[in-house]
Amino acid sequence: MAPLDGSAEMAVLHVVPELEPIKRVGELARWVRETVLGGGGKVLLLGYEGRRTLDEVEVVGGGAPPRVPVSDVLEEAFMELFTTLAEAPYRLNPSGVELVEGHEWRGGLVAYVLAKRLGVPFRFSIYTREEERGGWGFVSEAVKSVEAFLEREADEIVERRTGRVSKTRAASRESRRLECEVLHVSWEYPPHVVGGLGRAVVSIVHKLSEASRTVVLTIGLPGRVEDEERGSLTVLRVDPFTFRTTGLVSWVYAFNALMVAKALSGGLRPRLLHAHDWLSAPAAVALKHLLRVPLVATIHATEYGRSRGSISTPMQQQIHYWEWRLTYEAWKVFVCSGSMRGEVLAAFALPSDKVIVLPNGIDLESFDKHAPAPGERDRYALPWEKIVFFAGRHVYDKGVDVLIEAARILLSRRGDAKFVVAGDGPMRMHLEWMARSYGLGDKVLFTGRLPDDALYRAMKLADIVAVPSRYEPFGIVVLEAMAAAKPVVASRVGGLSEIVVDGETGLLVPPDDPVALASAIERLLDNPEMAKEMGLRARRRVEELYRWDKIVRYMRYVYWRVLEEYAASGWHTLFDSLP
Amino acid sequence: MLDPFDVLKALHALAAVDEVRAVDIEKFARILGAPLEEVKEVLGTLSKMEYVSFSGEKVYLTEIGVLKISSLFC
Repeated sequence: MAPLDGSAEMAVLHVVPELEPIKRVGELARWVRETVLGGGGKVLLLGYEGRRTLDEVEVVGGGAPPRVPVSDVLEEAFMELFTTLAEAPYRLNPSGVELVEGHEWRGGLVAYVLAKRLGVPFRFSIYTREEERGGWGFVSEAVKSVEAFLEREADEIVERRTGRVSKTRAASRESRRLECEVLHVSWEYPPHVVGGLGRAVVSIVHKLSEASRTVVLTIGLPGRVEDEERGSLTVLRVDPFTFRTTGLVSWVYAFNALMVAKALSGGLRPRLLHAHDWLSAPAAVALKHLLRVPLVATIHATEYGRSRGSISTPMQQQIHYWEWRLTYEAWKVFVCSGSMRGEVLAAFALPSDKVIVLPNGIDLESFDKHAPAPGERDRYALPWEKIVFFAGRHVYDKGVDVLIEAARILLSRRGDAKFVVAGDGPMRMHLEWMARSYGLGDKVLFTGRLPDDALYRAMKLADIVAVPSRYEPFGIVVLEAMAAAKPVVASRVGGLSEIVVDGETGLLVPPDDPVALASAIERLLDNPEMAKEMGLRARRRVEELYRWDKIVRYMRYVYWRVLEEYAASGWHTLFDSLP
Repeated sequence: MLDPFDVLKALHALAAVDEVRAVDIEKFARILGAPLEEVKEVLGTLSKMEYVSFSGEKVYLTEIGVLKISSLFC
């Protein structure tokens, strides 16, 4: 590789957001034209569908982003990035490219990632910095942070208006290569675990890594973003707060972009990709095409289901788009319950044979290790109080407000119950206010978020576990209650009605019905022998049906079938000659 | 009146997640377009709930605060 010296002899791939006369948004289109035309090389024009030659320079379009409404320029730029990354392997011949140059921050983002795939240096061309534009607010802060990141990461920076070149460094490239059987792309993995998705991914990759090299590509938490290697399992983490963003969707896009860059710079070469939910879809789809590897997906929940079929805001439309795109791109789609299968088929119009029901499981050996300490029960309730336990995110779908209403009804009749509510979420302040306003301050205990070991111990101390969800694709908390041999009172929705056998391992009640919930809880409180029997039957059921080793064995069989289909597919891209 | 959850989301967007990346409270109020006193009051409430921490005149999300925002998505 020739050293970077700004000379025109290097074969440069220019990545540009505008180019006069093809695409003009502002003055930049003219400046870019003056810079890139006549200098040789190739041009990749973002957001452009065509291909043409201008002044003997080949201009290739990066592809038109999907027609999904976005809220701001940052979301738009990321949509453009992921579109280009998935399209480039079919539009751009990389042979002979020695340098990728990104013009302005939008071109810079794409060039930064493409340079990693092509294994060549990255040059960042700046015309006007955001600081000079004098912008303010979230968009401006975000753009400044992207510019600062690209300046840090660039092998060379060129100030195009002054011609000043800085930070030229010898462009040595490590030729690392990390081969693995399966790369799981998941936004949840310890320490960033929020719900059931993260816990499922942990169990799956641990089981998979017992048989083959497995890699997880994920995000960390502030101060905890180091990679990790444990036997055959490698965990690669990105810092999701590398950029400032404009909101939750652009934040998700930002860490997905970093995930792609991390996978490419680490030389990751998986045989198969497995992505979890829309939150890792942009990265997974890009990597599928950049590396030409088959993709499978697990859909743990959908926006369609959460919103009861009402997809309206730009945020919802983008989430729905990425969920659809992920299922569309995937060879096979795993869902956790029959009800989720119906939901996914309805929401994304998938062929039936593409969607496979594979329940979540539980690691009983690990669960059984966590025994409550002597006196630990006293933290939650008085000796004569029976514990009704809830664990989950404090969001509308989980129906915690229904449980507080049920508590009010039940406690107006008897005083021997204590409601212990574990977890956190946007509704927490409201729920605490509800409990206080009902005069239940000492009968409803909000523990906040509990780590897994404390959660398992608390569950073992409970008398009844309540799962009052309005929407629940699966409900791992029910498996945990069953593993703890506790009777469950759950809503008859989604996966809950498939896991809980009504009258055998627990009681099912209509969702959003605090009176029915209170009655069912009372029935179990009044019949401790029946409750105990239900708990024991629940434990036997979980042992028979929901062990991760069985579940992962079937998952591996599906992987094998997908790899067979892939081998026979004849799929190829223009990037196939790249290492 | 500022919604405390919007304040958390704004700190999240600004990547104010540790002492190094904490944002100046006055600048934060300007970006939010809200009166400084109101912002300080909400931050005080959020601090009692352990969702934010202060570093001099700067503020940032704690790990619990970050996870609370993530909980919106699953």
